[in-house]
Amino acid sequence: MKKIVVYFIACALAASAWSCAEEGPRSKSIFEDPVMQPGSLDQWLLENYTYPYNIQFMYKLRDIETDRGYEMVPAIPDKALAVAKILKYMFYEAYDEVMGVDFMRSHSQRVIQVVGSGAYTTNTVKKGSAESGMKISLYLVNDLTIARVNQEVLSEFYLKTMFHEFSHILHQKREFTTAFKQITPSEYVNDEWMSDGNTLEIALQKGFISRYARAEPHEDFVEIIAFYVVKPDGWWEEQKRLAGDPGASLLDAKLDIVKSYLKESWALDLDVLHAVVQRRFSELGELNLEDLLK
Amino acid sequence: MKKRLYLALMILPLLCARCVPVVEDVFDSSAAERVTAKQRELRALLASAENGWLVDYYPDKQAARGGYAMHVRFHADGVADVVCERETFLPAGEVATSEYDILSDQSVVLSFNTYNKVMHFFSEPSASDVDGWAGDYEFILRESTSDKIEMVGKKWGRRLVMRRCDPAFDFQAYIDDVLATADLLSAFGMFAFQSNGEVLFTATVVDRTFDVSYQEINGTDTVEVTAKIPYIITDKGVRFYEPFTRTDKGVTIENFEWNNTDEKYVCVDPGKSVEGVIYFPADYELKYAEIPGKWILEYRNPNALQADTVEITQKKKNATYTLSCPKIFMFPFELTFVASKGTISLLTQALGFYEPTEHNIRATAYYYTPSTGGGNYYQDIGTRGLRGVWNHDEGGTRKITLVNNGTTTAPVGTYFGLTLRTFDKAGTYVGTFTANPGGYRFTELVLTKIDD
Repeated sequence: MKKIVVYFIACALAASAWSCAEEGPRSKSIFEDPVMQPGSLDQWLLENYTYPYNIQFMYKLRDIETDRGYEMVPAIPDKALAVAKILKYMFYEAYDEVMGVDFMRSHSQRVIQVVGSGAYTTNTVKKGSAESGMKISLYLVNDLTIARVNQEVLSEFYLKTMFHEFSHILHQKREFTTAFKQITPSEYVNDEWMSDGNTLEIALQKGFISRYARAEPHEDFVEIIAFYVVKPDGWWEEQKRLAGDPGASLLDAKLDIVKSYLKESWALDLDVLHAVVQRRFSELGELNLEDLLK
Repeated sequence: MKKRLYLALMILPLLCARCVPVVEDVFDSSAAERVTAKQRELRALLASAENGWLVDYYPDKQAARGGYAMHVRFHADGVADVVCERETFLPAGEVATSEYDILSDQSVVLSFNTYNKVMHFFSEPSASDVDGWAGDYEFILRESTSDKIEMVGKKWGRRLVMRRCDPAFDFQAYIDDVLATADLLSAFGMFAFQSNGEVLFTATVVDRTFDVSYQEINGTDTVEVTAKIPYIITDKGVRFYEPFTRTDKGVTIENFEWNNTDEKYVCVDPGKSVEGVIYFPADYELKYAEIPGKWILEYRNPNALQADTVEITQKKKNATYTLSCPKIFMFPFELTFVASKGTISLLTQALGFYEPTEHNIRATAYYYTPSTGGGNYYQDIGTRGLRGVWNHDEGGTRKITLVNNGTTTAPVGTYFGLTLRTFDKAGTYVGTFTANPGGYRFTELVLTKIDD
């Protein structure tokens, strides 16, 4: 019997060596690489986003890349360039300065999409959206008036969204302490955050930095980071004054957790990031938003 | 012996392990390769038309507004020049340049993927109109020849047909011809399309569509059929959105030229003898020529009833009139003839410039509340205003009562009409136009004809 087994194994080995012929790899991909014109916006994006950060910056709209529930139009390329320059300076390079360039290379969304119009419903317009840490879309890019770029407009339309969505990636990779959710455990209202009853005044009084922060704890958490970073010095104190008691102390309790989380989990000092972003706002005037070569 | 049998049984399955037989490929290349080849082909075809393509563009989910002629020139480097016959974010006839690409997500797709002030006018959403005009800017290739490309809008599904322009074609001249045709056609609101004297359907003009109705005999039943035929205005007439078929009559029609001498459409599809003649149904009110002349205008200002003689004259034939009475109106009004019904309308309108105060004067839809002495006016120029209701010459007197056309909600017990208001050069409201000789409030308007 042993012999049979040996024969059998020998035969099986021989058979396993006998397989179908394989075609070799094709010499050339069937997909055609886009031709990059030197000095073009595509080339600029390649050199400023793809090569340094491994990010695809999309400004040519493809409807399959958007939420087809909304009607949208593409970005004007000049405006897309301005937004690309602003994000690079105010967001990516701010993080580079604080954390070193590898931080964004490792953790940033892989795709940024800019869209000309907003995402309108009968009552609302969305300024941006994000897909599970992979992609972030910024809307209303065609509304950017390059001559009238200022901290308020940029924060409201683009930068707050960037800091907000990126902070989701951080807590998705390393969750924050459950103590955060316990500060205002019964005040989260999900979609009801949009209700007329949830005014900014009420949200502040209850210990939330924005109306949307009341949606759920993770939104609350990232709203604090986004607002804290983009708003000017003194803004947080002003919100506390508006919140009164107990809102002010609840806001501070949340901010303490946010700061220690970022420090302990990511070695990121929120105050340093705030200071860097504020300094960069003051330097924005030196940025040429219209010229590819400057 | 038994051992050999076992051995044979063990080896047998191994001998069965063979490659599957070679199956002949149906196609010479893979699906991806074929799509890529199609993309390359379409790119080359688009750019090969040196004088561009004439495009029948239909926005809207149901193409309910009809279509607009565009001209697109595709350059090989991915740049497209787009022009439209109608005003978009640019005036009619002005070129908007942007980029295009040939993609492959649902078959082969033509995408205008950077912002174009002409093309994206039809897709631009806003808070008040979340789908905009519901026009597409990504199109799936359906079929193509060297002279004609048929596509379908990816999101809203409207058909897009592109026809190659010959080297002598001049789109600016074509626009002029389209506008001239549109001008001629605007005079007529209803047509009866007939084949050899037999009526195929009657059609009411609504924007650039025919609201069609006809009776179809189905066995022993007679069925009332209604349909919509969106169309585009060409340099010579109209072209339907797609061929229209009256199945029971075996007639399919698509292209018509307008014969202005005989005032009728003539089908120019090969072998078809179909005409669209002007048609007045039994309940049609007044024809254009029956309105001009002298009328008594009764009105309230603000409470008291007043009456003055006004004159209505032809402004643009079959389209508008001028209503004047220097005694009460410093600026005459424009009346619109509603050709589909045979009636008139008086809408919110700009009247003119009043030099002493350097104000623009506007007549706006308005209601006066007698109980309070106040009123509400609506300054937006567009659809608000009054429509005429004819008394069918009862008692031998021709009367047209001008009532709220329904676009403004006026409370019960108020008087509806027009008010004259002033605006500064920036368009900001200033106040009532008190310099007008007949005052600034004209409500409860009734016209009575006094000569023939």
